Amino acid sequence: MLEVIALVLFSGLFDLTGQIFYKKSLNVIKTRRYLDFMKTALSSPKIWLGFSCMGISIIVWLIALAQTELSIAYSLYSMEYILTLIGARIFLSEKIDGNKLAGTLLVVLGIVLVVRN
Amino acid sequence: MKKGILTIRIILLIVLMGIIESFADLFMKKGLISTGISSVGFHNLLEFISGNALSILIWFGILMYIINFLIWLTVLSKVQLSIAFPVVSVSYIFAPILAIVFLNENVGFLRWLGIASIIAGIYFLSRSSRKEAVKRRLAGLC
Repeated sequence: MLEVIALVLFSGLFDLTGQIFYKKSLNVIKTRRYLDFMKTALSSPKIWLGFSCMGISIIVWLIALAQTELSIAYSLYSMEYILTLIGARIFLSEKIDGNKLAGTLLVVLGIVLVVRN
Repeated sequence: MKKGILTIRIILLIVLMGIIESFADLFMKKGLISTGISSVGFHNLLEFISGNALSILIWFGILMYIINFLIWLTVLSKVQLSIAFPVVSVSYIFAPILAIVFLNENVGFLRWLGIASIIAGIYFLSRSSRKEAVKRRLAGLC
């Protein structure tokens, strides 16, 4: 079980790193036309750095899935919602207000209740 | 332009991602089972990867992940990461709701509470995004 928790945490941290790279590179794109937006986004090195992090995250996630049930894996995965809040605050300077904190905590509670066996 | 606000349109895009993702997970799980490897460690990691690389189900799952990736970039370009990310959990309410509607399954009280909790959470997140947008607009005027 400890191994599964470590794997899910590892996968979550790589996922979060990827998300931060995505958001950092998308934040500087100004164009509003969709095709231009996609072209700019997909030619940004940070997007592909983020994508590689996602790749690692998915492989680790698959390894975790292969040794546990979906319900357990998803419950553990909800840790990442808290990590994302912290990561977005530190690396993206996104403000964390009471609404956001309450929203995130309710979502985590909801996931744990919904996926439980 | 409703920049930064969690609109219904953005929530619907995330819902679409959830639907695609659940199919992707289903294909992935089927693919994983078909390799016949029940436990993975460093000793059989290569065998595990090569077994999966030959599975069409795994590749189908990966294609779906790529489609989701493009939708996700669109969503992230419109709202903050700390808003968009928790909203992805909206996909968790579909399995129980589909089970109620199509399978006439009984969903226990705690699971209902979970569904309500996720919906309430998304409501608070959208409120946060609205307040943030109003603040930005005011800052721009001054």
